[in-house]
Amino acid sequence: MDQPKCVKKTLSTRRSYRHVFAKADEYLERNAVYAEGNYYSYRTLNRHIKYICETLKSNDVRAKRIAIVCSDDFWTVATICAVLKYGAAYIPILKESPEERKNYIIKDARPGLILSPDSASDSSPIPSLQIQFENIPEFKDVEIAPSVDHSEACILYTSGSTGTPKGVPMTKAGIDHCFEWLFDYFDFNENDRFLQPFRWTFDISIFSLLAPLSVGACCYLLPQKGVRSLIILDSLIKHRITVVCLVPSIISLTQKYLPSLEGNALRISIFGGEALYIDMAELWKKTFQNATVFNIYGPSETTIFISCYELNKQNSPIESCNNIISLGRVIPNHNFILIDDQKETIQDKMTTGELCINGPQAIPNYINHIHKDRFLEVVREGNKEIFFRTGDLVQLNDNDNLLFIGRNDEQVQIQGHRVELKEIEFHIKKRTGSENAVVVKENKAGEKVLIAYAIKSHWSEKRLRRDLQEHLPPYMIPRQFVLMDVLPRNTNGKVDKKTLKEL
Amino acid sequence: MRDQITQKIEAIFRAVFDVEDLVINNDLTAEEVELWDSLSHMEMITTVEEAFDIVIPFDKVIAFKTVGDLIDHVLQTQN
Repeated sequence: MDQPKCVKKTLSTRRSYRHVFAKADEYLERNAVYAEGNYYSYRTLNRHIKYICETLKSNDVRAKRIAIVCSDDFWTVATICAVLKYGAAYIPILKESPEERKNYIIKDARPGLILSPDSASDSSPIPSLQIQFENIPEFKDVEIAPSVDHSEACILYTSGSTGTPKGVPMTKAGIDHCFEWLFDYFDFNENDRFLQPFRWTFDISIFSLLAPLSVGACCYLLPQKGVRSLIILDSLIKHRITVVCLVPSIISLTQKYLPSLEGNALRISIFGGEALYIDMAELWKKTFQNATVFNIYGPSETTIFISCYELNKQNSPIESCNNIISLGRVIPNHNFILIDDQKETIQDKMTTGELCINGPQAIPNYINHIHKDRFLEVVREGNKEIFFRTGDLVQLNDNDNLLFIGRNDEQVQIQGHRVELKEIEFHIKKRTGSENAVVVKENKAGEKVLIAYAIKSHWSEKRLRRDLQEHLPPYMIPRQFVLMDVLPRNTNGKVDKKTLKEL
Repeated sequence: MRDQITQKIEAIFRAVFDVEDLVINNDLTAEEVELWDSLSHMEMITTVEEAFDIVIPFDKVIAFKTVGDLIDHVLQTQN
C-alpha cells in the first residue's frame, strides 16, 4: 500500500484543554458560564471544581471512569471539569434518557461511580455519590493534582441509529491534539461568547464547553425548556454569541425566521455533524453577515474535528459536490487514505473511495466490542498502523480538499448499476426545496427497489417522476414516491432512514 | 371566540403531534407532548398560521411558553 497523505505540523502546545484549569487563575473575575439565567465567574467555577475534587478525594474515589447525570446546568459544567481535573474519564448520561439506555451505558462502560445532583437510586449496582452545591467552602488554593491518571478523557455513546450503541473512548492525547489544532487555526479570545447547543453525549459539546474555558471566554448553555432549534437561534442573537458550532439542520429548521433576524455579533460559525448544503449556508450568511462560515467534519471515532473547510476564503468560490460543501483538508499529523471495495488504496484524484484515518485523534477500537469491519490494519515499513474506516465516501479534488459523496451504506447496486442514494436525494431536493430520503427496500420478489420519502410540496409524484426522468437514468428513478408532512428523525436530528425502511 | 380558537388549535395539535385524543389546556407545554420537537413545532406553527391566516413573528413564537400564550396571540390577531 502506498504512503498515505499526511501533513506534519508542530502545533502550539501552549494552550490545550487541560489549561482550562491552569488558565482559570488569570480570569478569576470574568464570566465563565451562563446557565439558567445566571452568570458564574471563573472564581466560582474553580471553587466548585475544587469542592467536587475534594469530595471525591475524601471518599477515596479511585475509579478511572465516572458517570455523570447531565443536564443543561452549572452543576454539569462544574462536575465534568472536576472529573477531568481529578484525572478520571467522564461518561455523560442524560437525565432525560430512557432508563433502558442509561442502564445499557452503565452496564457497558462499567463506571466505578455515578455522580448525580439527586439522591441515588438504591437499585443501581454501581456506587453513587450525590453532589450538592450547598455551603461550598472558600479554598485558598484552587490547584489540585490529578488523583488518578488515566489516558481516557471521556466515553461517549453513538446515537444508536446504526443499532446497538457503541462506546467511543476519547483519549486525553486525542482531545489535546484537537484543541492544539483548534487554537492554531482559530483566533478565539477571552472576549468571545461561545454557545453550547449540544447534548453532553455529542462529542462537539467538548469543544463548545472546553474551548471557551481554555481562553477565558464565556460558555453559554441553552435554557432547559423550549423548542431546541428556536432557543438556539434566540440565544445566538440575545446573548450576542461570537462563536458557535451547530448542525446544519438548524438552518432548515429555522429558515422561516432567518430573513427577519440580524445577528451581527457572530464571527465564527462552524457547522458539523451532517452535510452542509450551499443554499443553506448562503441563507445563514444573510442573517449572520459578519460570520466566517466553516464546514467541519469528524466522526466521534476521530475525536471531535478531523477536517475543516473555510467558505469563501479570500473570496474563492465554494468547493462542493452535489451542492454539499467540501469537508476541507484533514488536519495535520493524521494519515488518511481512500479505499475501494477491495480495500485497495485509491491514488487518483476525483475518484470515490471510503475515507480511512490514522493519527493521534483516531481511536483504535470501541470499548468492550471488537468491530473489525470499522478498522483497517495497514503495515508500512514493518510497522502496523490501524486506520479508522469512517464509512464516508469522499473524493479528493485538485486542491486537496475532500468532497463528500455519501455514506458507503448508501451506495447500492440497482439492476447491476452502482447508485449513490445521495445523488437522487440531491435531485429531489433541488426540485422540492426540502430534505428527503431515498431508501432501498426489497419487494415481494426479493428485488431491490428505491423508495423516495419527501416532504409534501406543490410537486406531485407524477411531476417529480417526470422531471427526474429528464436528469437521471431509469434505474435511478425511485419506484415509489411517498410524500409526507414530516420525515422521522433520530436523536441527532438526522433523517431516520432506519425507520423509513421499516415503514 | 376563545373556545372556537382553542377547538381549532386542538384539532391542529392532534393532527401534527399524532395524538388522537389530545386535550389541550392553557398550561400545556412542549415538554408534555412526546412528539413535540423542533420539526413538529414548525409544522404546528405553520398550520396555525394557515388556519387563521396570520403570520406569527419570531419574537412572539419564542415568547410562547404554554399553549395558552399561543391561543392568546391568535385571539389578539382575530379581534
